[in-house]
Amino acid sequence: MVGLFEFLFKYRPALFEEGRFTFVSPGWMQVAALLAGTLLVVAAFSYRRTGGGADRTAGAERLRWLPPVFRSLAIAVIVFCLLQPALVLSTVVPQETFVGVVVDDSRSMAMPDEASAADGTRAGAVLEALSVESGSMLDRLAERFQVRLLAFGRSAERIESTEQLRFARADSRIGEALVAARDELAGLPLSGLVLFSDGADSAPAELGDALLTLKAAGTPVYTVGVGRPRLRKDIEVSRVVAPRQVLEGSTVEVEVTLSQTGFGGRAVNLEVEDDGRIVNVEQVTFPRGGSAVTARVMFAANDEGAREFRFQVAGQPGEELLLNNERTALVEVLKRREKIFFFEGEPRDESKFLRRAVSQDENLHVVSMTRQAANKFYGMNFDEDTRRFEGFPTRREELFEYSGVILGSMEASFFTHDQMRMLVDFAAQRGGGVLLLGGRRAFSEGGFAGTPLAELSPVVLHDRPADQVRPELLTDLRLELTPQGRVHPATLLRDDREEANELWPTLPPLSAYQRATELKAGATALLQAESPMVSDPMIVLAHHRIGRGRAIAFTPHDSWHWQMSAEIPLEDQTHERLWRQMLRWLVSYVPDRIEIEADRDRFEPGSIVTLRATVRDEAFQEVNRAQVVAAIEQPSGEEVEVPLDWSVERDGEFIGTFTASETGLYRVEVDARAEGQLLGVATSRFAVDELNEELFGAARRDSVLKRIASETGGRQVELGRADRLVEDLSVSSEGTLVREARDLWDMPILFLVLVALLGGEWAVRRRLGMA
Amino acid sequence: MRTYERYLYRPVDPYEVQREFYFTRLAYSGHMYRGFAGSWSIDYPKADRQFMIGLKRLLDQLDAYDYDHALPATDPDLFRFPFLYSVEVGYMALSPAEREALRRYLLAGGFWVIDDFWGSWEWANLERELSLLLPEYPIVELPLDHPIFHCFYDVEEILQVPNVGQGRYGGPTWEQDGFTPHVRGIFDEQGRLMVVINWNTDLGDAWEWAEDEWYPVRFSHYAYQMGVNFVVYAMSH
Repeated sequence: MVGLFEFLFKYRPALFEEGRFTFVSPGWMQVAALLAGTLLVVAAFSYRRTGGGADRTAGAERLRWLPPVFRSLAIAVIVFCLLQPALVLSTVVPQETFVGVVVDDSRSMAMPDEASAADGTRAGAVLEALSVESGSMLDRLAERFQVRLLAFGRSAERIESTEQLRFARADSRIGEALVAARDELAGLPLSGLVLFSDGADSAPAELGDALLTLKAAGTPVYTVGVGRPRLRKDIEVSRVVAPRQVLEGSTVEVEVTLSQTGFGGRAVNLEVEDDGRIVNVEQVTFPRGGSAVTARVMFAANDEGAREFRFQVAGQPGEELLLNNERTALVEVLKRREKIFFFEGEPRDESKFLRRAVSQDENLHVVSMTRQAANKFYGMNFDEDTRRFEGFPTRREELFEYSGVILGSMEASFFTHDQMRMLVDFAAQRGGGVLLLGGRRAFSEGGFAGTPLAELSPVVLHDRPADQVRPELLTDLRLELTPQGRVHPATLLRDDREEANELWPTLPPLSAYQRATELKAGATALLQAESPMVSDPMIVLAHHRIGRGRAIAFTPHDSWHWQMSAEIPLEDQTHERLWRQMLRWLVSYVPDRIEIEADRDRFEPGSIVTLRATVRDEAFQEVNRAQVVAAIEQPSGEEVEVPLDWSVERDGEFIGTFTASETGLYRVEVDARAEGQLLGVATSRFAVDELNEELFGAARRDSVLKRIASETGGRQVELGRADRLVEDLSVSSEGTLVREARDLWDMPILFLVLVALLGGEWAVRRRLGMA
Repeated sequence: MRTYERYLYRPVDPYEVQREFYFTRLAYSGHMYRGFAGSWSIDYPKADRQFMIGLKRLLDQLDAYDYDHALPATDPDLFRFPFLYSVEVGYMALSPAEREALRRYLLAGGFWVIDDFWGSWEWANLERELSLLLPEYPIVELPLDHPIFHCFYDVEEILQVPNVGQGRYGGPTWEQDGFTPHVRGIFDEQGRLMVVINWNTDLGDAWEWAEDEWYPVRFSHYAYQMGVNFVVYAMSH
């Protein structure tokens, strides 16, 4: 389109945008107008005289006015040309203005996807464009400008010749490099920067800030893209979303997004590797139509410590880039005891067997309080780490020291309003997990409806019938997974997902007092059951979020039959696994009082790491007046202390930064104190390594290149079009400039219009018999 | 009809309403017969019913079946009742099928309280039966600081509870050569108590004759304390 415009109008649209339109000979204007008027009068008179044929049809009569119009317009075009129209442009003075050529020297430039280069690589194309041979882009630039070469990875530095380019840097931070190049050439009359890149930007910061700096400095950036905008055959592990911390022995659930081009419909194996050991293989089939697919991978985290899990897809035949087939995620496997408070309203086997199922789990510490008689409770598993109390806690500090709460068969009327509110706040504010178990005194049957406890329930509750003495037990419930339940880690009762999904309907039937058939908005059901006593499917396991925490409902009251059934083999671990997973799920992602986290889990060497701590007191109220210090243990063993300051933006948030130069694993321990008293400590880890970020999304990123050009006032230029680049740079408003008028009277469009008008007039006159 | 079923009399169908707790007596095979039933049925059903009256009053939150409930070890429904009670095990002679079922029951999570057997000869019989039933698990003495003695009532000493005849008339509390009462137990490899053995004592008679003005109340009182603790412990651990 631009080519057609340039053919018709002699110059590209860009020059019309840059330049100012004018007539070079304004003195002719009056004479020309007078002459045009006279000619028009003569033309009209001559047509009037030749007008009257008696045999003229009505159609011919209508065309009678066209010849004078055509002729008048033709005269107007000639007059326009006689006025000598011109485009006034500011152009640079040759060799008095500088141009910075900024070359991406990173690894991704070695990609073999640039057909224009002799060796087929992006780097090869750049080297050809910047060769000293006659006719190259560099040569053409050098004819008019003083050219300065710069190479960049993380930042830009001057190079004397292209021989210094290695195309092996691990990073390419375009924004920082452009600003650095601008600073390098500051003080020189700079016409603009020319960026040779594939658009791969691995900078953690948003590009916008750098572009604003360049725009403010009036430095246009002309971008020359290399590589294909789409790889022909490639598979990429685009994204891995993994939890930062999990309990030892937990099932880790990770979302892995795989992108592909050229492999639609192909099934590949996604392998999960822990320290060289494959812990899971998931087959992923790419959709035929789309390009990306997200797989949910689950595997057990059995070894304590900071683990680097690698997610990889083996290279496929014909794949152009293999280095983007893997990503790693840093997961800290914690060996610690999560405290759970189990409050039970009556002695029953369900609670006994539940506690027994998790009793061997070293990461779960279930403290229980069971009502045996009115106002007589039996507390179990209290130890030196847990405060002793009788019944249900009355103080937030007592309840909030737990990560999870299990509420058994206990009627709502037992609790005071404050205790019920506190339990809701436990989930909503403290971020804890609340598990509501079925029983004859739970949910609707326990009078939860209309009380704060109803907020916790993921299923809709109803008022208990006034005449109800004992709720009816619904028996023979065979549990089946919902579509969401089929992929949820809590329902994974066997290592193999398919095997686990087939197991559920074969387990001995259970019974429940709860007729829960309706989910609340925003809640998700994982298990359901059919009952001949209820028309709709009954919800057995469901969960929903409450503020920062979550609530889970499990309605059967006799899952212990899966432990003591005559049908279940003694060595079977189904019941143990069910409750271990449920309780680990209950306390997963529950915040601690003191938390510390780096802004990412992996960094490039030399990155600035932002540490963010959250400080809360025993009642989980944020504390702003605290002294917070992070002790960072570097891979070499050297320790650095970084004080963190209150961020002001959020209550309880403290921030500090640290430059990570060593490669390896870092450990951060934060210590928070208020008024001399220790509030708590927290630890976190992050890794520093060569990340090869730019190899992900490795195809040429035109959107990035276009954005850089448009936001800085430059243009995107095709590789090899040196003439365009020189022309664009020459009419820049930067550098040492001189004004130049370019003729427009000889634009082909004017000639074509003139020919069309005169030809049209002749044709009409012939039709009318006037010729 | 099986032997034990002829002997059953229940005013209320135990399964008409599903309860959380059934005081289940093990109807085992044995050498001694009393009417239609064996030694398992000594003091049955009065002791069981009378214990349930007291238990329900003391553990008022327990959803328990009010009456007696006896099952043989080979009944597949036994697994639905994780609490078992047995007496007169000096005459117990389990069949291989009973033994297999009972072993499986205990290892799966069942809890068995043994009571009312006396002297070295009856102990030897039980020991032999248990060595066939759970050969890999030793029988150990339960110390007084074990939670089973403190989970509801604090039991500070082990009393010898006499049978009704000797209790009424103030005779010696022992029978045969069982002069010293013991509470022993068997634990699984995770430290879970599976079997509690009350030797040289008769808690069942103390429950059965608790209303008798001649039977010393201190023995009934103690027997209820122990019984309640056994149930609380069984439903908690």
